[in-house]
Amino acid sequence: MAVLVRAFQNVLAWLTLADYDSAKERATVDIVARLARRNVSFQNGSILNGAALRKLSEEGDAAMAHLRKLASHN
Amino acid sequence: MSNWGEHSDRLLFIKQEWDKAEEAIKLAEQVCGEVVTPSVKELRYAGRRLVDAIGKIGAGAPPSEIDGLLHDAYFDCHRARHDAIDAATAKIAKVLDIAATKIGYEVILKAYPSFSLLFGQLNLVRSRIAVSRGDRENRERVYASIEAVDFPALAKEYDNFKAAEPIMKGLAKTERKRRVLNYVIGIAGLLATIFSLLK
Repeated sequence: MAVLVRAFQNVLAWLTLADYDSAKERATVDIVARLARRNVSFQNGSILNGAALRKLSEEGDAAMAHLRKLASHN
Repeated sequence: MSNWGEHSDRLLFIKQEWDKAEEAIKLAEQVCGEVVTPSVKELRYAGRRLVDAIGKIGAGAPPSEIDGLLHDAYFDCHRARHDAIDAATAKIAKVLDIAATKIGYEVILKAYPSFSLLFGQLNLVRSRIAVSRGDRENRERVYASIEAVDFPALAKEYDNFKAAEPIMKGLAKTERKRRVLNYVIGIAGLLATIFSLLK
């Protein structure tokens, strides 16, 4: 059953050209991992794309605002 | 004991190399933002070395210790600069390869007729990078020329490729759907023939 589901997903990815986009993403991760000499996270393929970086930055801003609010109450 | 004056030449070299690295990173970012992350990390390591060196100058540490840190900072900037160009070039090469494999030359050329020009520019940059690796004495000169002339031209042409990409993808999707429809019609025809023969 799992094989059939996987085959269906592959056909769907092929039809929607999602295989093209995912191959490009994999290529980016491979290049970053190859050039990351001293960073284990990069070597393991953990990199932030633009959207993830923006989300992390917004969460950081919200956390800082929350901390400032807490500090002003104490 | 150390003071700022005796390290000013090396600090100036680091500043120049840092500026060049930032320029290279900006160029490479046009190709793909994510691939420059190792370069940015190299600049971060350079910054760490600089902070350590400044701390040691302030504390009056021996010049040899400070020289070592400044030399490392310079080398990190140098590596950041080369990595940015290498990463962006590798990314373009990979994307073209993936496009040729997954989309096919016929569809690519319909949407982007300058594909061979882009491929030629990519090969030129790659061959110059290869030359620079075998020629340590002229490496700096070769990279400076790649950054100033060859790579900006390649990045500009790659932008044209990216602009044509949605059209390529649209054509490729239509082509794939057509192929599936042909298979379905073929199989249905085959089954109909078999059933008619069995009747």
